[in-house]
Amino acid sequence: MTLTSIRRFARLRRLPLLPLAMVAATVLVALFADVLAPHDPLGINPAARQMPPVFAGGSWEHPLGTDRLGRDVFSRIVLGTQISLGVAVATILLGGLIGTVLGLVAGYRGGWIDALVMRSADGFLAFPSILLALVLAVTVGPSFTVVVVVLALVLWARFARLVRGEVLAIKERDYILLARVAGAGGAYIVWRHILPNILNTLVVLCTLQVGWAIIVEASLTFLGAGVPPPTPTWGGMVAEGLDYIESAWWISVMPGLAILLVVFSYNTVGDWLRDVLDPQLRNV
Amino acid sequence: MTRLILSRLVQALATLLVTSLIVFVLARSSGSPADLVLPTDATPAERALYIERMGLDRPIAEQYLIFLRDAVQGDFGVSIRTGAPATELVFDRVGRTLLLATAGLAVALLISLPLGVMAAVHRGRGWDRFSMGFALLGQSTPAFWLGIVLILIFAVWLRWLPSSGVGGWQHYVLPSLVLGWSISAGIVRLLRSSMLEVLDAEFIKLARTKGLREPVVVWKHALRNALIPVVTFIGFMYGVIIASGVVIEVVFGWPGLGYLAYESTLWRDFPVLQLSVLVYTAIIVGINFLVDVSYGLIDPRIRT
Repeated sequence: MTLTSIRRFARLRRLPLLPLAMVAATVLVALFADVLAPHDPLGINPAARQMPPVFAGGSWEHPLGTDRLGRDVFSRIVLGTQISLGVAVATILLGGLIGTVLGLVAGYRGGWIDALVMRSADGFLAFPSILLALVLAVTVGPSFTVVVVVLALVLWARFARLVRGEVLAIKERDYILLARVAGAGGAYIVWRHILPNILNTLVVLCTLQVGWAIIVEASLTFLGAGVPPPTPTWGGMVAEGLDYIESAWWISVMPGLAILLVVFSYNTVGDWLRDVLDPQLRNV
Repeated sequence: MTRLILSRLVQALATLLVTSLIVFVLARSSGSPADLVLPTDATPAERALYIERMGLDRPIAEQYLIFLRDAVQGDFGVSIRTGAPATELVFDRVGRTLLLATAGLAVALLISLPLGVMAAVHRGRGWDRFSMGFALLGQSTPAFWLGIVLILIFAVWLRWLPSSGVGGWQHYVLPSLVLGWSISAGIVRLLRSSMLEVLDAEFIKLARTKGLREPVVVWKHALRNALIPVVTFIGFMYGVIIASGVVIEVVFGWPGLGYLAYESTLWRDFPVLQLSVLVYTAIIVGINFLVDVSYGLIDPRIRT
């Protein structure tokens, strides 16, 4: 397949080529970060402190400049991909699994289980996760696990609400009633007949939550309630550069730009997947 | 109606209690709360006194009751950093946080109402693409980073606006712009889909048939009805709105509740952090209570 034919195919399918490439790139960068980073992301170099990026008078040695300790900004952004994507994937696995199971049970069973699950979901959605993260940072100390748990506490509720809604719509269909008449048990029906029908919705929701998870993780780390230094993280880098904004703006601006580009790509791909896989799904 | 108010009031109080319980349990999950609440240079005698007073040697349920008893009397301990009562520090800051949240919400409405309406009216064309692109960009921008970029442009390079602190109206411009921007994306998307639905309704066709001018149909009859889910959304998301203010307060050195919570995290000033979180929760719960009750007043079907 030539490049032209790929482009034509992409236009016909309204395929967001650039964002898809970005998404693939972030995964590869996260997997091979150690090989791809040109410098040691933790390597302090007093001789090369606060060097500007190459387009602002710097050199190709440090394409995005260096921070106040002389660490290479580009290498640190590359390594930061691991934390950002790692948190997103772990959060979505944990929150998505819990939320989906609870949503399936609430939707299929109804009654007081349904009321209980949905009431708690509302509560968790309205409660600001940032505050919980701050409390946890002081009491148990900031860590990767804390961030994932805090994010999953909000995320399960989003999954549960959506899945429950889908189950309510599906469970009255004829084939479900027939399966029940044929003697199938609840667990079998949910696993065999309902879950496969909401897989597309789940895929779309997962994709759309990656960007959200990356931004919230960065915000928590920015506040010192996320993954602690010296691990390079995008939010942590922005925070470190805040005090040097007048003399060395790139320390903050570059990692923030990385967040913007990556999250924008994931959101674009998510929107596209939604239109392709699940056109009725809106406002998630 | 009285029943609605009562049941919602009970719910609101229950939420507050649960939050206080969670914070309470977390404080005890990390070892002795004496380490969290007392300064590091506290003498053994001071420690013993604190353990005695808070009943730390008694069962945990009893400890929680002691905490509640003190809380009801307005005693939330003293700040580890300054030694002042936590209540004094916290209530000093609440007003500024609410002001910033209100300003941010106003900016958000100024941005998102025109964009959402125009997107629905010109569905699939230029305005729609622009609005949806804006919403996508808004959802993808980290608020703290946008704040730093605006400080860089308008405070450091152009020197038009102050970079941090409070004072005149100039200090409001950048923080409320960032807060407004970060809230807008969700409102634009929601308003667009709700407008699309309303514009299809019978009463809009009737309004057009009556010969009403198109702007009146769109901006008066359609928008008023399309706003209902938006108001629900804002009421529901209010907690998230003021919480995203935490990051923005830190970037702009805005001396509000969020900045206080951030500082007390850095200083491990647990009594102040605990009260900040409880006050945040009380504000959110209070707003949700008002929203619920006002729905009851507007729409009698909800009064159950």
